[in-house]
Amino acid sequence: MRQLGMVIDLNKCIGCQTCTLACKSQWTDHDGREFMYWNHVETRPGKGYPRDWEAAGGGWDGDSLKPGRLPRLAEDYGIPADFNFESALFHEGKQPLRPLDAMQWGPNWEEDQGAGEFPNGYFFYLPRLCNHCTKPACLAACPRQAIYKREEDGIVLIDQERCRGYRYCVAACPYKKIYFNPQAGRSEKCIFCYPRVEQGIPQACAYQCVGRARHVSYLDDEAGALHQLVSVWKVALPLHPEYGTQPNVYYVPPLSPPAFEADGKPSGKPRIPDDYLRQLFGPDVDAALATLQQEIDRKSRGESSPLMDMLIAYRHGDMFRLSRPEGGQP
Amino acid sequence: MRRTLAWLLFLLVAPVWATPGPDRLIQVGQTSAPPPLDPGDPAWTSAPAATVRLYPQITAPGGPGGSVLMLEARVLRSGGRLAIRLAWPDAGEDVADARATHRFADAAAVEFAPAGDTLPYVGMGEPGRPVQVWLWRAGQPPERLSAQGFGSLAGQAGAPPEAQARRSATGWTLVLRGKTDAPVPAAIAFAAWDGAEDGRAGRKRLSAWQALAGPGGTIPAALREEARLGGDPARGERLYTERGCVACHAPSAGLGPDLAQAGGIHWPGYLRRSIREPAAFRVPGYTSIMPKLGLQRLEIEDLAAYLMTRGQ
Amino acid sequence: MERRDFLKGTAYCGLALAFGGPFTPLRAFAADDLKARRAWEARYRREFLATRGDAQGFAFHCSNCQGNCAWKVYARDGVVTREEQSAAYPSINPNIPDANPRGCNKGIVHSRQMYQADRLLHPMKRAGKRGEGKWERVSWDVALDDIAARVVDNLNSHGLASLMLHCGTGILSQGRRAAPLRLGSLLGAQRLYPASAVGDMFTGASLAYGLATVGHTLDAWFDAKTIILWGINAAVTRIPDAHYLMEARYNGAKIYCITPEYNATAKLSTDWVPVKPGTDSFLAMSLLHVLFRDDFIDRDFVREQTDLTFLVRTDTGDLLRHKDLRDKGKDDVFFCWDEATGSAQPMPGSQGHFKKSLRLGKLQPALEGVWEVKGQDAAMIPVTTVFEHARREALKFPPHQTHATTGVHPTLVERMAKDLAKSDKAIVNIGFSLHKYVSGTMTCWGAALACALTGHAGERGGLDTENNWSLGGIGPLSSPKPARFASGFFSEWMNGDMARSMKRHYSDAHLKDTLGLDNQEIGALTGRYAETSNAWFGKPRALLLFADNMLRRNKSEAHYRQAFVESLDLFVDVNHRMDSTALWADYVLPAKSQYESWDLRGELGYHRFCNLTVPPKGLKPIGETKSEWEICLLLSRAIAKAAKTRGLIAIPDPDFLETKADKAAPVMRDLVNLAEDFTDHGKLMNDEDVVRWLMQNVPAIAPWTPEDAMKHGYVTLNREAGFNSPLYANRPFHSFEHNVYLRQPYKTLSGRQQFYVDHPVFKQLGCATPTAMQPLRPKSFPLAFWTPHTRHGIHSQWRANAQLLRLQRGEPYIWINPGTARQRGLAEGDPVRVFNDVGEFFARAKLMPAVPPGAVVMDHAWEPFQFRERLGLNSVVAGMLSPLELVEGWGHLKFNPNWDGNMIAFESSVEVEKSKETAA
Repeated sequence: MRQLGMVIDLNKCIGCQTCTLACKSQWTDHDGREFMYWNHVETRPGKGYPRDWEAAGGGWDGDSLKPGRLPRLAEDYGIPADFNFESALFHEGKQPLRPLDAMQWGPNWEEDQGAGEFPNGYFFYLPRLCNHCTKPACLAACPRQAIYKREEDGIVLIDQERCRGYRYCVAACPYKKIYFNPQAGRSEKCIFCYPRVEQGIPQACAYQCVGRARHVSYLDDEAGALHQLVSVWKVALPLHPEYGTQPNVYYVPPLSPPAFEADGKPSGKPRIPDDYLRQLFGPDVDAALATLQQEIDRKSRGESSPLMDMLIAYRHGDMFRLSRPEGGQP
Repeated sequence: MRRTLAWLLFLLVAPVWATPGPDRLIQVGQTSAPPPLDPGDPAWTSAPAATVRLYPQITAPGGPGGSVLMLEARVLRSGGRLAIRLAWPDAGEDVADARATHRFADAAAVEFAPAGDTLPYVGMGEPGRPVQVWLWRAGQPPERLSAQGFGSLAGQAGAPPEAQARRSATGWTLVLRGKTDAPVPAAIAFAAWDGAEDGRAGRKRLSAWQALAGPGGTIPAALREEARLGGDPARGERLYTERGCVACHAPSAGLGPDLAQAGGIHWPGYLRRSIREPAAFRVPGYTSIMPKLGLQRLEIEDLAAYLMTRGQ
Repeated sequence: MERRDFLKGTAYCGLALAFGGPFTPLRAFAADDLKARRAWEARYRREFLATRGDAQGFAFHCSNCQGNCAWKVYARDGVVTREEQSAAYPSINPNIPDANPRGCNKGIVHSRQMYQADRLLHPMKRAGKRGEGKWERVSWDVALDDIAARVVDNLNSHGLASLMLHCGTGILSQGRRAAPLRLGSLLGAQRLYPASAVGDMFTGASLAYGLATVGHTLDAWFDAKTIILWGINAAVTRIPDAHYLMEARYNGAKIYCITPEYNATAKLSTDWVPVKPGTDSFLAMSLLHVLFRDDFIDRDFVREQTDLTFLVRTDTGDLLRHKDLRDKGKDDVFFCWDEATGSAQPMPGSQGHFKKSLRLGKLQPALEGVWEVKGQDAAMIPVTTVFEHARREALKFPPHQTHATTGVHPTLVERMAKDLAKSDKAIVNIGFSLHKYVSGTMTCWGAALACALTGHAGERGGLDTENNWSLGGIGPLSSPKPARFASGFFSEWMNGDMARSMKRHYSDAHLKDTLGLDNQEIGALTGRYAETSNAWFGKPRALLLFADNMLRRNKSEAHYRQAFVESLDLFVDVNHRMDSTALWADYVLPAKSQYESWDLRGELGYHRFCNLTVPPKGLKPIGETKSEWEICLLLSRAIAKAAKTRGLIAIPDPDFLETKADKAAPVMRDLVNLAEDFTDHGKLMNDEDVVRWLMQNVPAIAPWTPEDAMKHGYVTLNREAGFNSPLYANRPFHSFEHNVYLRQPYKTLSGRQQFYVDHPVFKQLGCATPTAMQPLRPKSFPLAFWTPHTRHGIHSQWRANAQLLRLQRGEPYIWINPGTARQRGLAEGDPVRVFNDVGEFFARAKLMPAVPPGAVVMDHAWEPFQFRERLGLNSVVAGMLSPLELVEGWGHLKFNPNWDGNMIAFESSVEVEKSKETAA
């Protein structure tokens, strides 16, 4: 099996949500999917989206699936609110524009909040989508075997004809990136834009990322960014590797400007605590950050750095290597 | 205890009730008019009520199965259409709600065995022996489905059954009405899910096959062999112990299906077949395959007779 | 684990549990099963193809966004399905990251905005009182005839200036904007200068360079070694270009982000500089302090390119002028102390000097020293240099002393100054936030001086406000006759009687103490401005407003509305959506929006591409909407008809003279032939004609044809687009190469980068050279209040978009430090009332560790109709303007697009308290 993967550079992510909406207008703004964000960007630290997803279980304990729970629509995902445009704007009175249902949560509810105390508050953006895992818990949990991983690109799909909406997958996914479509009675999730990928067009979230933060290539493509960043430079890491699903979306961890000492002097220590990043990306994050800093320093000394050149990505088109090997499936 | 109380309470307030009919045999009422869809239609009194026990599903992932222990079933037939009225206790109403994607709806299903003299595995049939299913989920249109084994449930062409459900404070009364594949199904089985317990898929309780009584109110001729029970349960129990069956067939062992309630859920024919040809049909979710035990014909009868005493 | 136990440990109630416990997963289907099973995958493929539709167009989003991004627009059955960034711009140089894929979260939901329920679909006439919300649907004919009749009667009885025909920043493109500009110019209507009306003037840059918008294409960030981002949250407001910042950092650059709140741009910077709100000018002075103190000075650059060598009279504080030395000497020739000859010598290149070059020749101008020069009456005049003045001023602000004021630690200031000085290429970006403070002019001017001292200009970087291209050639389209140009900030100030809220919020004593002028003295300056400025002024009686949300953006909004809009005889709002201003109109006329009419935009200088909007073929009209061109054409026909029935052929306009055969005659405002003039005799009948005209007549677009542009949705501008530097095909653009390399004079009085202004007001306020000015916010309310640009709107455009509101919290909220909130008993999400002595509004609280204590911050431009009682956030912003920006008629400081003022937005203070719910 070949595996298509994605690296998201959290330093280049500016939290603009263009990817969120690129995905939404491509896939999820109709037919019961309105509340879903197959791709979203959440501010970290925070409860995330769906709310408290990291505490909702799922994933693997060795070879056993861990219990997980289903997020609630209004409280954890957020209702895809419509608004009283008609009564607020075209009728008498001073009724303010408001959501028709009070909003309790949303995909970007904690935008720019983060943690810490002024002036040492900190936050960064974490785009999330289906990880198209090598060991998908969702696949294992489905009693109807409606979930499978494609041989040619490792994309994990929920067969929309087999799925009967039992939602074991929703609970099993430790990233909570599977959504139950109440209108269709089926579960759906990011499909890694396979209809685009099959035509050589990168995923909407990646291609339309104006921060140029996303690299897409096959893991076994040695010239590709995935292989280089994950295996060679080891600066791209999976999110919560301890969940055991072996994700194929990787993250370049975030640098941050130094925190200030009590007198306001820059401390030389990053404002995002190392511990927090270890919680998210595991112990390898230390080495990854050190490598990043070391290569930036090389550049500032005027030396060359193939790693920095790859992350800079001089040509937008070069960030995507979708071509199939000889003899691959059409 | 709580569940028993719920059942008793339900019995007290159930709109129509009658003494349970003979086990695994449902008398079909005949009406001249089309069978009613309204659960409160007086025509239902013409159909004898059967009280049917429900058991947890023993396939994996099965789970606890839910709190619906029994239901009352009545069947009316007229003009090629079948109407089935099910009544069961359910303390809370759980209806499909697009705003509550984490909740599940109360549901019930009727399963129809294909014509023939061998009943398929009661849990969703077997490859080559498809069952037909009418599924009702509270708040959703009823579905006409078929299955050939666990996980194979799929939509089936043809008009779906009609459904009308009535909710009381303590439970549901549901009528499903439609045409089945076989004009006169040999046997039917029931399942119920409680939404409050996240009932869906295998998180349900399921009855054994119930034969629809033929003329004279007896088990149809084709199913007599399936129902035949000839061995000695005491000898069977000794065999069960000697052969160490429990090593695999216990909930804690998890290597084979738990047989604690085998007599409630299965027919003797199925048990005989499973002992004789363990590989012919394997209950899904279990990885090991039972060896052929090389038993004599009478020993198999004895074991089956013993297992039929369990969970009745 | 027991279900019950699991439940206990979570916040989820009534949740669903997937498994009773661990169990063995099921086997996967065999591969051969899979193949057969995959037929269903066609389902999503069909969905994808449906979004690709059956027709494709190109577009950009022109509503007051400086991004200018090329998009593809897909439509099916005449309905737009989706838009996607074109990502087709060519790479200009393999060593510089390309510009793809430009776009943002607003652009990508425009297709949803098009069909949203706030869209105006039909002409509507007010049926109740203004703002009451009662509407009557009318036909286009009825609406246009009535509007035209009232416009003509108004012109007839009250004169041409009584009409204001203003196109706001909702349309800044050259195509669609041409319609209202052309009609207004033909009629001689008043027109506000938009950048000033919205408070986006860079007057600090204007002081230094005579140009408000200077800088670089933003790919110039990439090879800079130091980037100082000052009051600019590029990751939020420059979304399509922000990648160059992180790429520059990966390329080894140091990035300093100066902003009071820790924001998305601070997050990607090497250092966040947490300046206290409104104290930026102190930080600028400390930077200058370090540069002067440590002699980080590029003396060759400073001598040639700046006025720091110019002599200043120490007796009067004025620049030494030719007229000081000679009877009938010139007012605009200045002197240096020439070390070669030991005498004062005129500096070439100034506005009055015959030599239009910065070349010094044999002159060796001194930077430091005190001398005496013989005046015209033979009296000796003591002089020193601007350099000495500037240095003396800077040395008053050592970093350790400004630390308490600015909150910025001296080590950070020292390091920033050193990096600026030592970097071969450094860029200081000034954002739109700075000039929302009165001190912003000084901060920006100080930053310009820092760039000058360190020699950063041209390819070495320098100050960047925003680069705009010189498109040229557009005049005959947009201004066939002279228009009445009004100052944006000043007209709004006077029309809206903003002085009233200023007086209420700022006591004389406080103003005197912080600014040096009290209310009356400011009033005197505005009076003088009204008299002396060549900006048009006078309250209009009829307003035809295009794409301008003036009732949202103006300060003390209810008061402004009452003073201006409610007193109009006729108020027509042309808009694609119901905004807070349209709500108060007599007529609303439904316009097309971004994808529905042809358009072109190329003046924005963040990149070198000129984008086109080409609607997808077969696009169905939305309701009865019409393009601005069509609306103006219909209006011109209706006005002609109304004029004809009144026997009014033309109105002479003696305010503007036309020279014909040596005879000057008043410009005639021809009403009966208005439509003929508007279409240039049938050549410009629709929006497509206009775009084709632009393609053929704008020199910077050559040699591209409309057909080239329609193939890709953009063309690359040629060398001519840069007016103070060439736009090289393979290099980022940097301002001032003509000045630095060709020694062409700057557009200033001195002809050089100007750091001394001896206008009496500048001298009175101690601002003759860059200095620090205190924040003005009164102490009567404890919290500072500022409203940076939002991520989820371009000003108010898209602010009420449902897709974007779902990515926020659905209604307005303030950002407040958790400690500040706690002191007031406020918790996350609480409804709050924000108030002061000029007004109040209601919102929710969002607790933000990124926000400094003692402040309320709100990302701006929520529509007033999103608030309880429709009290928008500007309800608590008092009117304020900068005395420095009221200076008029000094050298290059004359009303023009490069010298106009700002409505000051960030100098009010507020208090916040818990309230009842935020909806009425």
